[in-house]
Amino acid sequence: MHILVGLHAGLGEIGALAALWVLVELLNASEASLRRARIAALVAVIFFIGSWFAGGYNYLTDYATAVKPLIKSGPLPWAHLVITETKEHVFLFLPFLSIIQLALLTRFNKEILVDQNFRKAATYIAILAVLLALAMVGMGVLISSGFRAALEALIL
Amino acid sequence: MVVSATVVVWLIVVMTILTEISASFKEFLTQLAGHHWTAKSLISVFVFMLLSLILKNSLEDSGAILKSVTTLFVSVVLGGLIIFSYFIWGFLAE
Repeated sequence: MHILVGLHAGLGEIGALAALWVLVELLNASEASLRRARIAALVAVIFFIGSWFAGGYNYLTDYATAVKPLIKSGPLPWAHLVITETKEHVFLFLPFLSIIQLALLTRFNKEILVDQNFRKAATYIAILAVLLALAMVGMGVLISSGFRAALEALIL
Repeated sequence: MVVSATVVVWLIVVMTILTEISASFKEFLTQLAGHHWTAKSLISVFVFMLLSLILKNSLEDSGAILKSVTTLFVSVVLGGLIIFSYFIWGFLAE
């Protein structure tokens, strides 16, 4: 269970860092920075999809049988009933956002340098991807805290 | 493709709430893919790919793309808040 959670979190956090890298490269766009942004965007797509699979597999197996029942019967049931329920659905936005990011940077790689609208569009997506990824990290911490609180209530 | 993503965002919001309020819809999703969440993931991917293919030759004017991205931005924020609010409301109502 720990490996799956670690894999899910690790892949997601690398994706989040890659999304942040895209944003940073867009703030001072040049041909070289856009080339790096495209690489970072591809990394974000790959790692968010990897996180999707790892998290999904964990959610459908260990989380469903061992973690969810404990959280729901523990002192912080909202960790599942609100946070996990939100996270499992809002997370689905992220891979598509990262694909759009990559598509914009690839399709309009020359236009972004000369057209403010394209640069703004790419930047808005980058900001959104970073904020959403960070929200996922925060929610993951809350869910883990809910699980830990439930375990502590059992043994303390 | 940006429009496809916006449609998928709202599709996820609608499927999320429908799953909570309709046992038959939840059962339909479960039968489709073994678990309602897996079905939502697969449907999202399918709809995104289908719409992206259908809309692939749409105009690529920079103003229109900025407008589409802004709509996507607002949709993600609003959609996320709707989902979050729904589950908070459900939790408090119990």
